[in-house]
Amino acid sequence: PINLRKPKLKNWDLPPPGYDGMNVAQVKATGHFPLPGQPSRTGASAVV
Amino acid sequence: MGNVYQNPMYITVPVSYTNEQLQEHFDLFFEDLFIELAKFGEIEELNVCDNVGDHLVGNVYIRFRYEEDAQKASENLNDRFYAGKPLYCELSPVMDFKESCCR
Repeated sequence: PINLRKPKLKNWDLPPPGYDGMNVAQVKATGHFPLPGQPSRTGASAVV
Repeated sequence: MGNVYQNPMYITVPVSYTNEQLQEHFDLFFEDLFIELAKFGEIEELNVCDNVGDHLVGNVYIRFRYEEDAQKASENLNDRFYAGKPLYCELSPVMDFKESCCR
Protein backbone atom coordinates (compact mmCIF):
# COMPACT_ATOMS: atom_id res chain seq x y z
CA PRO A 1 0.00 0.00 0.00
CA ILE A 2 1.16 3.49 -0.84
CA ASN A 3 1.03 4.82 2.70
CA LEU A 4 3.60 2.24 3.75
CA ARG A 5 5.87 2.72 0.79
CA LYS A 6 9.23 4.19 1.73
CA PRO A 7 10.41 7.09 -0.40
CA LYS A 8 13.90 6.63 -1.79
CA LEU A 9 14.67 10.34 -1.95
CA LYS A 10 15.01 12.78 0.90
CA ASN A 11 13.81 15.90 -0.83
CA TRP A 12 10.75 16.71 1.21
CA ASP A 13 11.12 19.47 3.79
CA LEU A 14 14.74 19.96 2.89
CA PRO A 15 15.46 23.67 3.40
CA PRO A 16 17.90 25.50 1.15
CA PRO A 17 21.51 25.31 2.36
CA GLY A 18 22.20 28.22 4.67
CA TYR A 19 18.52 28.81 5.38
CA ASP A 20 18.20 26.32 8.21
CA GLY A 21 15.96 27.50 10.98
CA MET A 22 13.91 29.77 8.73
CA ASN A 23 10.37 28.82 7.88
CA VAL A 24 8.99 28.66 4.35
CA ALA A 25 7.31 32.06 4.47
CA GLN A 26 10.52 33.69 5.64
CA VAL A 27 12.55 32.05 2.89
CA LYS A 28 10.02 33.09 0.24
CA ALA A 29 10.12 36.64 1.59
CA THR A 30 13.84 36.86 0.89
CA GLY A 31 13.05 36.81 -2.81
CA HIS A 32 15.97 34.48 -3.45
CA PHE A 33 13.71 31.75 -4.76
CA PRO A 34 11.36 33.36 -7.26
CA LEU A 35 9.30 31.37 -9.70
CA PRO A 36 10.69 31.24 -13.25
CA GLY A 37 9.47 34.17 -15.28
CA GLN A 38 8.97 36.34 -12.27
CA PRO A 39 11.43 39.08 -11.47
CA SER A 40 13.96 38.12 -8.82
CA ARG A 41 13.74 40.30 -5.78
CA THR A 42 17.21 39.38 -4.62
CA GLY A 43 18.50 41.95 -2.19
CA ALA A 44 15.44 44.12 -2.56
CA SER A 45 13.60 42.98 0.52
CA ALA A 46 14.93 42.18 3.92
CA VAL A 47 14.22 38.98 5.77
CA VAL A 48 11.14 39.39 7.94
CA MET B 1 -16.31 16.13 -14.67
CA GLY B 2 -16.59 17.74 -11.29
CA ASN B 3 -14.15 17.67 -8.40
CA VAL B 4 -11.25 18.39 -10.68
CA TYR B 5 -8.41 20.61 -9.58
CA GLN B 6 -4.69 20.65 -10.15
CA ASN B 7 -1.95 22.10 -8.05
CA PRO B 8 1.06 23.38 -9.88
CA MET B 9 4.34 23.73 -8.14
CA TYR B 10 7.75 24.43 -9.45
CA ILE B 11 10.51 21.92 -9.41
CA THR B 12 13.39 21.84 -11.81
CA VAL B 13 14.97 18.67 -13.05
CA PRO B 14 18.69 18.54 -13.71
CA VAL B 15 19.89 18.04 -17.25
CA SER B 16 23.01 16.79 -19.02
CA TYR B 17 22.79 13.14 -18.05
CA THR B 18 22.30 10.06 -20.13
CA ASN B 19 18.75 9.14 -21.02
CA GLU B 20 18.82 6.21 -18.61
CA GLN B 21 19.99 8.44 -15.76
CA LEU B 22 17.35 11.02 -16.58
CA GLN B 23 14.63 8.40 -16.65
CA GLU B 24 15.77 6.96 -13.35
CA HIS B 25 15.91 10.43 -11.80
CA PHE B 26 12.45 11.21 -13.08
CA ASP B 27 11.03 7.93 -11.82
CA LEU B 28 12.45 8.53 -8.36
CA PHE B 29 11.18 12.09 -8.37
CA PHE B 30 7.73 11.02 -9.50
CA GLU B 31 7.55 8.31 -6.85
CA ASP B 32 8.77 10.73 -4.19
CA LEU B 33 6.06 13.21 -5.07
CA PHE B 34 3.34 10.63 -5.42
CA ILE B 35 3.98 9.02 -2.04
CA GLU B 36 3.82 12.37 -0.25
CA LEU B 37 0.88 13.75 -2.18
CA ALA B 38 -1.15 10.59 -1.71
CA LYS B 39 -1.31 11.50 1.97
CA PHE B 40 -3.76 14.28 1.11
CA GLY B 41 -6.18 12.06 -0.75
CA GLU B 42 -6.77 9.96 -3.78
CA ILE B 43 -4.76 11.16 -6.77
CA GLU B 44 -6.26 10.78 -10.21
CA GLU B 45 -3.46 12.23 -12.25
CA LEU B 46 0.03 13.58 -11.73
CA ASN B 47 1.59 15.50 -14.59
CA VAL B 48 5.10 16.87 -14.67
CA CYS B 49 5.92 19.53 -17.25
CA ASP B 50 9.26 19.40 -18.99
CA ASN B 51 8.60 22.46 -21.07
CA VAL B 52 11.00 25.32 -21.68
CA GLY B 53 8.33 28.00 -21.32
CA ASP B 54 8.77 30.07 -18.19
CA HIS B 55 5.18 29.58 -17.17
CA LEU B 56 5.39 25.80 -17.42
CA VAL B 57 8.94 24.72 -16.72
CA GLY B 58 9.08 22.07 -14.04
CA ASN B 59 5.48 22.53 -13.07
CA VAL B 60 3.75 19.62 -11.47
CA TYR B 61 0.01 19.27 -11.81
CA ILE B 62 -1.87 17.03 -9.47
CA ARG B 63 -5.48 16.13 -9.96
CA PHE B 64 -7.15 14.87 -6.84
CA ARG B 65 -10.35 12.91 -6.79
CA TYR B 66 -11.87 15.40 -4.36
CA GLU B 67 -11.66 19.19 -4.28
CA GLU B 68 -11.21 19.22 -0.53
CA ASP B 69 -8.06 17.18 -0.86
CA ALA B 70 -6.68 19.56 -3.47
CA GLN B 71 -7.44 22.50 -1.18
CA LYS B 72 -5.80 20.76 1.74
CA ALA B 73 -2.74 19.84 -0.30
CA SER B 74 -2.43 23.33 -1.75
CA GLU B 75 -2.42 24.97 1.65
CA ASN B 76 0.04 22.48 3.06
CA LEU B 77 2.44 22.49 0.13
CA ASN B 78 2.77 26.26 0.17
CA ASP B 79 4.36 25.84 3.55
CA ARG B 80 6.84 23.15 2.58
CA PHE B 81 10.33 22.90 1.17
CA TYR B 82 11.23 20.44 -1.53
CA ALA B 83 14.82 19.71 -2.50
CA GLY B 84 16.11 22.90 -0.95
CA LYS B 85 13.50 25.23 -2.38
CA PRO B 86 10.21 26.59 -1.11
CA LEU B 87 7.20 25.27 -2.99
CA TYR B 88 4.69 27.54 -4.66
CA CYS B 89 1.33 25.92 -5.06
CA GLU B 90 -2.06 27.06 -6.24
CA LEU B 91 -5.30 25.56 -7.41
CA SER B 92 -5.50 25.30 -11.16
CA PRO B 93 -8.63 25.71 -13.26
CA VAL B 94 -7.45 23.28 -15.93
CA MET B 95 -10.05 20.55 -16.31
CA ASP B 96 -8.51 18.33 -18.93
CA PHE B 97 -4.83 18.14 -19.77
CA LYS B 98 -5.44 16.52 -23.11
CA GLU B 99 -7.30 19.64 -24.15
CA SER B 100 -4.82 22.13 -22.77
CA CYS B 101 -2.19 23.45 -25.12
CA CYS B 102 -0.45 26.73 -25.68
CA ARG B 103 -1.71 29.12 -28.31
